Amino acid sequence: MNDFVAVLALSLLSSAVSESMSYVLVYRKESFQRLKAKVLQTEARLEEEKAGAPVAGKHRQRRIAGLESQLSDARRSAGSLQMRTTIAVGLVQVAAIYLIGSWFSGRVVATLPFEPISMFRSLTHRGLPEDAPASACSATFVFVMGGLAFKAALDRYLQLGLPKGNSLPAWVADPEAFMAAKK
Amino acid sequence: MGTDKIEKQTKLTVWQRAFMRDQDWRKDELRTCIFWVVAAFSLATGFAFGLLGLRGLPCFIAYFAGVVVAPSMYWSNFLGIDEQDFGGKMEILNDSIGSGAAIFMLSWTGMYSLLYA
Repeated sequence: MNDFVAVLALSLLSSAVSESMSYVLVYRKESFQRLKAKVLQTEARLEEEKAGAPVAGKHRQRRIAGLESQLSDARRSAGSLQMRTTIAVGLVQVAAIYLIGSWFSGRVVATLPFEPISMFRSLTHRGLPEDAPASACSATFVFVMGGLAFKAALDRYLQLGLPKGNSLPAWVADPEAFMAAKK
Repeated sequence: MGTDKIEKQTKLTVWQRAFMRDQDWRKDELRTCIFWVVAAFSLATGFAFGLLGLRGLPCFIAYFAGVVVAPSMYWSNFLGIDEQDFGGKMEILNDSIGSGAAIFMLSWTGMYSLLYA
């Protein structure tokens, strides 16, 4: 159990280091702050326009289209700034996974309450001897799961990056409005 | 000046509005609130399953069914939100489920290992 807690703590530390790097390289810069403010402003105006009358007149449709275009331009520019951290953070994560793998090599840190399918076994049994039971769990698996959880939580809590935009395309999220806009 | 003071006093945080019915929500605020609801649900479910020593595929099925149903009941019955105003159920839940699943697996595995390994 000590190993499990230790790996979780290292995962949290790694996520915190990644987030700090993103802050130092991108988030604190004035150019990013300006783009972020523009995204927030444009999203607020877009929500106001869309919350208006159920059927949008031509002028409102044009304003909505203009705001959506401004929003996607601002997001694209901010995204290209964020690319700087992607490579750096990626290298940090790869190094961390390698270190975890070597520090905890051959050690079972937890017992899984399920038998993983063959696709996941390479991750759950990474660094473990071949005769380890199917429900044995390696440090790498705990570290990766911890990274997913802590990175997302830190991102949400600190809100240093851009606000999350629409993840589904317009024709999926609201097909009727999409078709109405096309006419 | 008096109106500004009243507006400042009545502007509630996301955390305050999460416990109040029929408030106004922006999309990013709702998604933040639901992210933490999903995280809490995943942590609690993982601990419960681990405590009870439950194993196997049925637990995954129960979790993934619950993680969609429970938050949507919360926002429709308690917050009074129409999910269509925000792009539908999956638009609201989309970026919460991945991290929620990771939290569930860690809490389930940790509790199970502590008590039954």
